[in-house]
Amino acid sequence: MRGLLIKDFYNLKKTMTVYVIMTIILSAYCAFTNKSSFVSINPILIFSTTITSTFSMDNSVKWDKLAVPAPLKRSDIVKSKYMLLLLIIAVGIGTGTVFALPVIFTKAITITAFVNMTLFSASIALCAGSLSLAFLYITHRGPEKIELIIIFAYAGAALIVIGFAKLLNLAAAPLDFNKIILSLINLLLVFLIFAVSCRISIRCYDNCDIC
Amino acid sequence: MENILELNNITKNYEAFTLNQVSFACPQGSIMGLIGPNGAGKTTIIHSILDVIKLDGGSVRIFGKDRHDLSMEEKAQIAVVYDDNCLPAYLAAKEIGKIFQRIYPNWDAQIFQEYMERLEIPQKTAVRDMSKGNKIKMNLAVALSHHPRLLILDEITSALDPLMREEILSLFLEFIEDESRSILFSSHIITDLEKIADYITFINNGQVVFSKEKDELLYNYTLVRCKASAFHEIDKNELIAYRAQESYVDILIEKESACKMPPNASLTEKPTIEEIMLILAKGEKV
Repeated sequence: MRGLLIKDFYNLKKTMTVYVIMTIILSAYCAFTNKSSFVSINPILIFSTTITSTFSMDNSVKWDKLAVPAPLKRSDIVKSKYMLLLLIIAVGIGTGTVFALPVIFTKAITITAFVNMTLFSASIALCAGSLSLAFLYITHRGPEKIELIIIFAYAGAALIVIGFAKLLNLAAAPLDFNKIILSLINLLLVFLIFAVSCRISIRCYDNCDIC
Repeated sequence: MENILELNNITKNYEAFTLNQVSFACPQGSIMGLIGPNGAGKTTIIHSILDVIKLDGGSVRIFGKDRHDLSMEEKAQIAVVYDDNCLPAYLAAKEIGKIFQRIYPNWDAQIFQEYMERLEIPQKTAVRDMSKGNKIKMNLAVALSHHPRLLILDEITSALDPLMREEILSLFLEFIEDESRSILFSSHIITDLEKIADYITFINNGQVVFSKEKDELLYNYTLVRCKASAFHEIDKNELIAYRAQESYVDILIEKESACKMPPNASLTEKPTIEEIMLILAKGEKV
């Protein structure tokens, strides 16, 4: 599986410049327009969209026709994409934290608000990535529909995560939970979606024709 | 001789095409040429062998085991090169080497470097910026660099110039010098197969027409070309197949039947594999 992750890492390295520039511009815009609490979420959300780019790149050369006969299980090919999603989100969180340091030091946002926004955006990114990957594996759709998939996945993920947050707030109202704990529970619920999505994708990919 | 690859009645149904009970075997230490017209099912067979597509029936045995029972070490001994690039397009040789080093436990970086040099592949160019021929050569270098025992080639020589084709054909002959290895080589360029193949399997409309030793094909068959007007004089029981052209008929017969042809059946010659394929695919079988 390491070979597959390295392949995606090299592929992303070649195309990442656009995403990095976009992230810097958006984060700078947020920092200078009193939207400091959004500074940390840009890298997480923008970077997470690249998971679908790796699909486009694989599809354009029919990479899976080489990967399936290789000494790999079909499930490893799917798992590597899910693993990559987690790594990309982790890199997004790291970058977001670095970007947020100046606004935290200048007290433009509180640490609680920063942690909350980070957890919230990580939940959306993880949910959107899980929905996109499941959709791609279930429907065997190629890159021609990828933009649509991204739009629907992120819209759907935002609805799900906000829905979870509202339900958790309602359920936890009498208990007076810390907001960060609620965000963590929200993220854990999204991890369930991630696990289900991974399982469904493995099952679909195991039984499908590659070309 | 042990078979390195065996296909037993493999069947795959598509809406417009069926691969119908295909069976043949590739012995260890040999090159099996897979020929047939476009859409005959050659690539479907290759995809079936590699588990890229799921079969509706039949079985594939590789190294004497059912394909699904192969260990990872055994899977690592299978290599494939398709007619188009399947390697990450944005990457160059160094990065590709690092990827495959982590996928194949038997990856040999030194051999990879040697093939890159021998096949004159630009090492710093991203695959997508290479010519079609160099892309194929790069895929071939990757395939050969993990010491496969079974090499599967899908129409790879059509993108190469004659000089490079010659070089690659000699490379394949070197590959099978170690008699534990075999090649399944699908190609439209039948002259290539005539040069290096030990066995020929001819596929047409998703079915095996024949799977025989090349020498048996070349020496056991005779091509008779007779005038259309003289065709009715020939005993049809002696024919395998014939193909009527405008003014003459090409007839494929067993070598022993040549003496039974009427004297005005003008020309009797040794057929090429291409001629055998054309008569069997486009002509009438008797």
